[in-house]
Amino acid sequence: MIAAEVQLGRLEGGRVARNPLVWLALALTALWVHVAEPVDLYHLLAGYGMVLPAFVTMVVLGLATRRSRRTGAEELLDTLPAGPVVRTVALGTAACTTGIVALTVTVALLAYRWPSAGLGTTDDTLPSGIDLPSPNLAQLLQGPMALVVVGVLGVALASWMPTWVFAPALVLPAMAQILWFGIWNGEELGAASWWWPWSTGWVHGEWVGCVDGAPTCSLQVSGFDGVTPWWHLGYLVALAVLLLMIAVLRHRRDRTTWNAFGLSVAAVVALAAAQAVVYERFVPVGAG
Amino acid sequence: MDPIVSTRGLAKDYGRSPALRSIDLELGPGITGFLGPNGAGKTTLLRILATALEPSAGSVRILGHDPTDPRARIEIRRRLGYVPQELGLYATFSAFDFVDYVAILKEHVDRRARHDEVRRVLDEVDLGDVRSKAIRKLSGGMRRRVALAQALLGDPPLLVLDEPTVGLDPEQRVRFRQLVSRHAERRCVVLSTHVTEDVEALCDRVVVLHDGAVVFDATPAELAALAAGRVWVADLADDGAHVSWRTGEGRYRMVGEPPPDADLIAPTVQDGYLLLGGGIAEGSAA
Repeated sequence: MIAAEVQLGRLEGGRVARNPLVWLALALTALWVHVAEPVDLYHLLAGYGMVLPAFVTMVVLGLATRRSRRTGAEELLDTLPAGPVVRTVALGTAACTTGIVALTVTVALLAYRWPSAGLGTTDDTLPSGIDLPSPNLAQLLQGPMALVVVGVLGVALASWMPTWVFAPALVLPAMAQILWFGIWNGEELGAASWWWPWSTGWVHGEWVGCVDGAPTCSLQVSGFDGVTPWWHLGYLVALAVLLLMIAVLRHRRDRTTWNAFGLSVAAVVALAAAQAVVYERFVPVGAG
Repeated sequence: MDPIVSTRGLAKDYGRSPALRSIDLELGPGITGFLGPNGAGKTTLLRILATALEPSAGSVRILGHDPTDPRARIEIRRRLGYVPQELGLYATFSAFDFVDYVAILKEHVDRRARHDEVRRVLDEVDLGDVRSKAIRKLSGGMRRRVALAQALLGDPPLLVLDEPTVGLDPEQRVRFRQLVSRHAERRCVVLSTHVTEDVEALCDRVVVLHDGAVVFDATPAELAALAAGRVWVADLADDGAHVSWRTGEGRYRMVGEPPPDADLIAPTVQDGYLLLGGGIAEGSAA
């Protein structure tokens, strides 16, 4: 049966990857990267640039999930040997396909604006001697992976949504994430921050440029944390699996599905909690 | 030889409304047409045969399996082709992609072989040239053929077609008859229709449903024979006729109890069906 999921995931993934709205969102990301100041580039490449494509993917996959009900195809599909679980898992696989597209775009954008000091380093490029961080490999993967998570979120929400009256439920989590990121960006990370897909752990404490006597500094970016991004990447994978299990539970509630659901909940909680423990504490410049 | 479909005392209720009452049927290879007015229970019966619906009472065996058993139901679905009344096609998919989508859900997982099969069934319904076109850009008749193409995937031994000829032009209808009759040589085809000409031209057997029960079950010729001696033409309509209509030749064609000097003509399946509906031939019903 796995073969059916893979084959259908390939078909669905191809459809999402050909969707012009997804490419429009990716083009806007590319434009955003093109015009970004060096100080902002780190955020975009380390995941935040994928917010809009992820939002579009969520809506596209949500619509694909509702397609059979919208078109009245359920009567036919209900008479086929592979049931709704296969269709749901295939849409999750399609989110992964979109993630691969997003990763390719991320790599292309990275090549276009390659950090002069290399990956996972800081770079003295500004006249004031401010160190600019560049994303490491895990952080580069977090944008596409967060896109997968939000895409699967669209599948899960649409699977459980009884009618389109609840459509705002698809939009609000994404908007909350985007707005929350905007508000939170520059604040010191707290334990709750690790639960967000785009909480990639590159800001905590004060920015090294914001020392006494320095010009006004609205951002308080300390550099980047070399530890949490890998943990956060694992957290995102677990979150994607959890959301997929939530979608599958709409159609199948056997022991295997509940076990997978339970394991993914445990993994999500453990990996989120672990980040709050293991992250590198910021030591301000000149401290001690 | 075991029948491909058999039902015993099959009944289906929607709440307190009975849709089917104690249906006993045995269907083998060949084409069986279900006729009946709207609400007679045709679609309900076909949905049960297609495993889309479970009966409220009675037993059903399809392809040697009991569809109420979940594992057996999957076995049936692997060997079943179904065209529902409401097609529910994905308008933004191309014809090829939609049939490919269904083929995957029918567990045709070898990509190359599946694509060959998809091309074969699309060619069989004359859609090979437009297979890349989005379904929303196809005519109603073409959409029907896309639905038929997906049902033909894997050459299933049981084909269940609910109103398959709606929206087909005369040429397509003839093509459809050729296709289905060829398919039915070794297989069981069950179809519901309002078009008595299709039954006459295509079916080995006709079952008339009325109010959820079988009121006639025999060959189309036997259904037509019910009206033998009860169809006539005249220059003026006869108030005593069960039904009458003016033909293109300007004369009235009537079905019912003819007057003694009536100009009798050969009856059709439609005449027999109309008489059944009017209850005139009640005594002849199976």
